[in-house]
Amino acid sequence: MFKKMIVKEWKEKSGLFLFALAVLGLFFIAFSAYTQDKDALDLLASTLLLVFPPVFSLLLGASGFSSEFQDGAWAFLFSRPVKKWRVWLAKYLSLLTVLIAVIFLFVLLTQLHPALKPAPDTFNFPLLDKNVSYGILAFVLPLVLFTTAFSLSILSEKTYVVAFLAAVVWIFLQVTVTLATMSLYDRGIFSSAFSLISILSLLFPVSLALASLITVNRADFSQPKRRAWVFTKSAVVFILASVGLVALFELGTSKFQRERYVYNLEVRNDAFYFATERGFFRFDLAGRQTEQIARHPSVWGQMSLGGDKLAFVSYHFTGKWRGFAGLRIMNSDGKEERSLVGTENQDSPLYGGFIYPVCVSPRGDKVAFIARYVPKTTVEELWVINSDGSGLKGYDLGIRDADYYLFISFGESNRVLFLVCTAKIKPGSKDRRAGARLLRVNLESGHVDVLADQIRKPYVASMPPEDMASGAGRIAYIQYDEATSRDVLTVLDLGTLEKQTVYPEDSVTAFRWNKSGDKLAFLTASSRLGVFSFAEGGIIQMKEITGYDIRWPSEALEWTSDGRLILRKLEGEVSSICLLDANLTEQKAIRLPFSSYFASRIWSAGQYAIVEDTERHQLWGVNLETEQWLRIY
Amino acid sequence: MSELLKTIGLSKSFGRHLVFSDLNIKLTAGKVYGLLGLNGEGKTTLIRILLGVIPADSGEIHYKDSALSFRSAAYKEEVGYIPEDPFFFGGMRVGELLDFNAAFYRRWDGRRAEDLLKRFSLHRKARIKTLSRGMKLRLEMAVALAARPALLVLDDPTSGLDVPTRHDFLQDIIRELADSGTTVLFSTHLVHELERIVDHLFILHRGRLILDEEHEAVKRSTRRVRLAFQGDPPQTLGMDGVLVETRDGPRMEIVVYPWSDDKKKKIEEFSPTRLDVDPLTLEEIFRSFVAG
Amino acid sequence: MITIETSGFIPIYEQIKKGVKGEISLGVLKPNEALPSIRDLAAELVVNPNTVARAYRELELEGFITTRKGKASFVAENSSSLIQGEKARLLEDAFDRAIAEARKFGLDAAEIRRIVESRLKNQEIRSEGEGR
Repeated sequence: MFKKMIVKEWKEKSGLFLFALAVLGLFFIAFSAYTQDKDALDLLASTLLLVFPPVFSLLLGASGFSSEFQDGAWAFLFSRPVKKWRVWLAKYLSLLTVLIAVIFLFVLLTQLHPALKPAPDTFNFPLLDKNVSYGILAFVLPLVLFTTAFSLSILSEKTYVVAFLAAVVWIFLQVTVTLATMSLYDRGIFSSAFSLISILSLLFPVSLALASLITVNRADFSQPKRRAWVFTKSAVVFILASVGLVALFELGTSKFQRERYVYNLEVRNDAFYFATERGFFRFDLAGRQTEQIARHPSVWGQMSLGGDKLAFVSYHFTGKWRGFAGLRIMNSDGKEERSLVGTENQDSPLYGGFIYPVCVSPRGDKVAFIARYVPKTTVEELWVINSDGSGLKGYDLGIRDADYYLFISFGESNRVLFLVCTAKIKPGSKDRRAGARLLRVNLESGHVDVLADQIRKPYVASMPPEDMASGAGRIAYIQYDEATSRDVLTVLDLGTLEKQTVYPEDSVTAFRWNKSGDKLAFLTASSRLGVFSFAEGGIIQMKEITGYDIRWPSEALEWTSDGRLILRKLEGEVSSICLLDANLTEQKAIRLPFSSYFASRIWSAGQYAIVEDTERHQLWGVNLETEQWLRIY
Repeated sequence: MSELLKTIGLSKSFGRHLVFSDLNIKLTAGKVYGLLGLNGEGKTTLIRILLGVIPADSGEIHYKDSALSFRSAAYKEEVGYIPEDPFFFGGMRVGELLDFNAAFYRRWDGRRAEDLLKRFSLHRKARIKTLSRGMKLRLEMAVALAARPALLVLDDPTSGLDVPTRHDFLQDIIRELADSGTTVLFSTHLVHELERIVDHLFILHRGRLILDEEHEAVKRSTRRVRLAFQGDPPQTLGMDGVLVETRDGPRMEIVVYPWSDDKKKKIEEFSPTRLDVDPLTLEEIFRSFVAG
Repeated sequence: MITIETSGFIPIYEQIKKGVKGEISLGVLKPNEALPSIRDLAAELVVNPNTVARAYRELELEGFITTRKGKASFVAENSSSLIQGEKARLLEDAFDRAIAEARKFGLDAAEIRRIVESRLKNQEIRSEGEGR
């Protein structure tokens, strides 16, 4: 029956098929005619890609049962010894082959025509800041629209009415679900809005198809109103069921993954602050309490502390299919939270921009941030604003090929700003000079100095920012030395701008300033641990260390507040953190309360060392004296 | 005689309009059943329900002892259907329609199909659109009969056709009956044609089955009685089964079902001056039944 | 030729029986001659084959036809003699009908007799006129 059905459907829809071929043919000719005119090609390409697949799939689906209604052939089909749902399915699959054939030709046209070939890769259609890919437009969307229209085609014999209705229904469902999800996402209820929306977008046509099947199986086709009623009832039930199922699933799994992704951790003397997808938290060292200080879902953990202020970037979605970044500031206890700068305001010079990263001055009076992809400007990327929201000023750093930026610190009483700028490396490029650069920006004149380049990871760490406020200070970084092909640990004195290599003998893989800013601990490529003292002007300790877990060197090292070093150890399944004294001898090893293959960063503040369980997204802290573990998050 | 099809308490309404309720019919194998009724009184609806094209509101249908549901499809292998308006298949050709239909039936007899095409002078390559109404009917016959149905259901297929075509059509049915012993359910309002071949009558009127009887028995027991009295006829004759009653001065004419000698005696008690009892044609019988 | 009318007075199978008997009595159907098959006769007369089958069954019971090998039916050997008896009955039926018709028109017995006499005389004169 199925084979005969395919033949029958192809015959019936041959008109539509030929029409589609004609349209594609016309576009082909148009592309060939305008090969030189890029603007025309863009226009033609957009029209073809955006209009053809949806319209065709809607028309094809909507025509599904139209001939049956016109001929009265539905009574014929229903009086055959075949289950009605099979008839529906056979028709659906038969028409699907027509759709596939046309889409195949469509893809062929876009892939083969030289003018159009690059289109799929570069095609982007901004929607919620995600680029709706060619794949979705060419394959998923037609299938969804076709199924929707076909499911609705049992309601009427007028193809155009059904096509229009299908488009309306689809738009309505998509928009409703998107808006609902976005507003819930804003409230921090769902952690992954996009997967939710995509799953529901696929479940909706399935629900409509099921409703259509049920209608065919149950309803009296000779009564159009009854038919429509049965269909609507079933459709509503299935759609609500889909929503309910997905919501339950999402809530259920979110419950277990409620604590997700710890992004950033900033340590202060009395507390430390960390950013997660659920919001911002503060752990008070004295009270040993974790509290949530802001509910905004943290996106890429951008936050910065300075003085008594905490600035962070949050995202929220308006109803206009766009997401906007907002720079917000609050006191470090979470009070007085307010917006500093938002990118959704059309009057704002930052409208439409993307904010990342953020830095607060040591006294908490100024906030610097990088805003990119601002439509109103392609030049100014660095911005500084006062923490009361006044005095927004933009700076052109003169850099056009930056991949991303990292802030170091304000310096010299907020007159200068230190930051690192990484460069885009072209794939396959062996250009080793594309390392990062250390910049100093004069915030009064706007002048930019490149203090060092060819900086490799781990990127730069400065001494505690408070000490840089005055103007003195040092920045340590790893620089690639072409002559020796080594990654050399270098220290730059900000006062004299003199550079000093700490350990030129070997490549350094990681380094860490101590809490008072006068010692540097580092790991070499040959697994040696060294300590450099500025007071004594040289290396005071150098030891070969074995048995420690230094698979991710830059995460492996930390100083305690009382001058000891912490390293990780992994013996079999057991991970532990080890304390080393001033002679780099192991004092004690404290076993981690969880086992994980991955080694996370170690932080230390006050009496505590903090470790992250990256698999379960939890934060644990241990009192180094009592060796008591406490789950912080 | 085996029971082929049976309905129990079948009811159907379209919105607030009740088509029929609590319908019980039984079809025995090998007989010809006539489904009579005025236009628009539910014959087509009933047939559609029996063929599972539309669902009944309540009630059961049994085919050969198995209960059917709206979703049942297997029994339709044995049921042929020729509707009132022939199915229109757009640009299909005769051969294509036959092949398309063949795919549905397990016991499709291809050779029989060819024979029927020949007998009906239908060409495989002919476009269905170009066939006359009569030829379309023959095509539908071929389509239905090639599947060797045990039950053939016809919904007033000959309305609008001329007499010779109808005559030929009936002959085809008869040949099929004689060859295969097919059970036939024939719905029509051309009653006099049915008269020659029907075994059992159903009359569907105002939502109820008002007659469910063997053709012969109905013919035997329905009578037109012409009466005349001295003076005015009596107000009532005091008997049941008077289908139609007309008065004209001293004269009175009634159609009675069932007629009996007792009833005759009852009338004689009124001393009529005239008492003529005559049989009726099926057409007249039908009209009498639906007059009320 | 057997003709069937459906005005409802005489059941079809009775009409078929009468028709067959008539053909036998007229000599159109001779003893041992095969009757048309049920199928063919039903198609020709445009009547239900069951009806034809019933007629044939009763004819067989009455002895007018025999069925051999369960298929074909043939006129019985001694049908002619049976026919004689039938003739009278056949005629009686015809007369019964005529009388019933006459009564419908309101004729009484005396008037009917008069008409019969006059029609008979008419027939005789006619046949004499044609030279027998």
